[in-house]
Amino acid sequence: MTLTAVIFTLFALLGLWGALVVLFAKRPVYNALGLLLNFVSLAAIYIMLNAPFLGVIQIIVYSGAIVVFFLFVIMILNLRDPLSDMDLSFKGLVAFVLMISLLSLLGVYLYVIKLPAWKLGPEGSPGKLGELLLRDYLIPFELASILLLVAIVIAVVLGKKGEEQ
Amino acid sequence: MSGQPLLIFAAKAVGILAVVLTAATYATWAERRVAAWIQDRIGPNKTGPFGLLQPIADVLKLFFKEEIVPSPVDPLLHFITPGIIMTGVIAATALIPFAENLTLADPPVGVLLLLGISALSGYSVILAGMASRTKYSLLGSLRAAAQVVSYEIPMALAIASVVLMAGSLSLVDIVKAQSHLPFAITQPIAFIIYLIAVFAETNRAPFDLPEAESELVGGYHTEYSSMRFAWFFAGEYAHVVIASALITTFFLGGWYGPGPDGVWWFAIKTLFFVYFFLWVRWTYPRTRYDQLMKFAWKVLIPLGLLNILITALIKIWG
Repeated sequence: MTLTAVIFTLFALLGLWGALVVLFAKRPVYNALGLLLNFVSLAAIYIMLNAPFLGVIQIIVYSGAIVVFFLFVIMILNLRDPLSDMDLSFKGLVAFVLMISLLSLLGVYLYVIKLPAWKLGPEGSPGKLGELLLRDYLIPFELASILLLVAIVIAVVLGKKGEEQ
Repeated sequence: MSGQPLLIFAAKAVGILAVVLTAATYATWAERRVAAWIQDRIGPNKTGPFGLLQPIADVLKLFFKEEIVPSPVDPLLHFITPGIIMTGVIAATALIPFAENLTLADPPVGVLLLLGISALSGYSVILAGMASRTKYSLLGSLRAAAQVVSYEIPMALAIASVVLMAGSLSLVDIVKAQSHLPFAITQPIAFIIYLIAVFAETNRAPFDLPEAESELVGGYHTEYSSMRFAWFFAGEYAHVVIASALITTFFLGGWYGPGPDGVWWFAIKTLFFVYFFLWVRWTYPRTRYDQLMKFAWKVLIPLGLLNILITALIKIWG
């Protein structure tokens, strides 16, 4: 095995481990930390795929901000007890059906439609990405920004409503 | 590590790490001496000349202290969190351009990687409080979580203006763009925003609310003792040293200076900012928590956005 393969395997296994912790850990803190491990390993794999910008943004946004917010919520709600007393039978069934449909969809994509392998090439640099986003894909990019802005405004409005009651 | 033999690279890495960690150790000594000087006391002066052996004595003492792990803690989290802060600091060391040929790594996304590392090192403070499961620690952690997330934004905005000026995300290129004039002069607003945000990121006074001893005993590290506490303590000072090195890199032209350029200019500027951190701590009172948050969201972030807009306009039409 080459060094690259060793590093890839390491991060792939770490990412899988993180994902399994998210699913099966009983304490919410560990679920959040499993998610963190998964995000960081995924970032490492992005960097190995010659997309350093994507990898680093993955760390800043997902690992740096989103998991912190999860932990923040866990702290405020004081979710320290295991979730084992929750009735999981119905939710488990729904989750299982959703998982199967997601996996079959993925299988269709991979083996039937045969998506071309995403090639960013050696130019996965921030400059190149910026050019693509702000020149070739300007309108979808701006639409996504507006969508996020709308989501923020809605969150603020909903939050305010709760305050008045 | 382009082109150089692995052994030389490893020697460089170990050497740089040793210098940074020694600087962090002596920052604790400097803190006590500067505090004493500002408060018209003498400070530690018995252990060795000028008390220079005091940090070593302190570390030895902490090594031999009993390690108390309170029963309600989460053992795994309690064990791993002290390491996170140091890991972040050490990882950041690899990216800092100390001199023209003294940089361990210069990735094309260096600035972003640095922001990522800084975001991850916030976990040490947050998890420490959650692992301890006591109210003081938890309150310290809550404050830390909100503070770290809020102040990362103005910090990133300030750096974004610098990146706009330099036209590159590589730290070496940013320093090279300052060979004539440091960004502290051409980007004064970004400089001030960054300076303020860094105080919050390192949890230093006047923004040391996560460990405000008058309200929270020890804050997030209340339940830590012996060497585990020492990791937090050393981590804070290592963070101060790295933060000073980054201010030097982003805003003061790194190794460039009047007269011959070189690593000494980098050292002088960095040490000045380490002193600046201590100076502020002992002369400025702690802010109130709501003031701290309001200041980030209502003053620093709008100001940072405006600064980016102006910088971009000047870049286009200037």
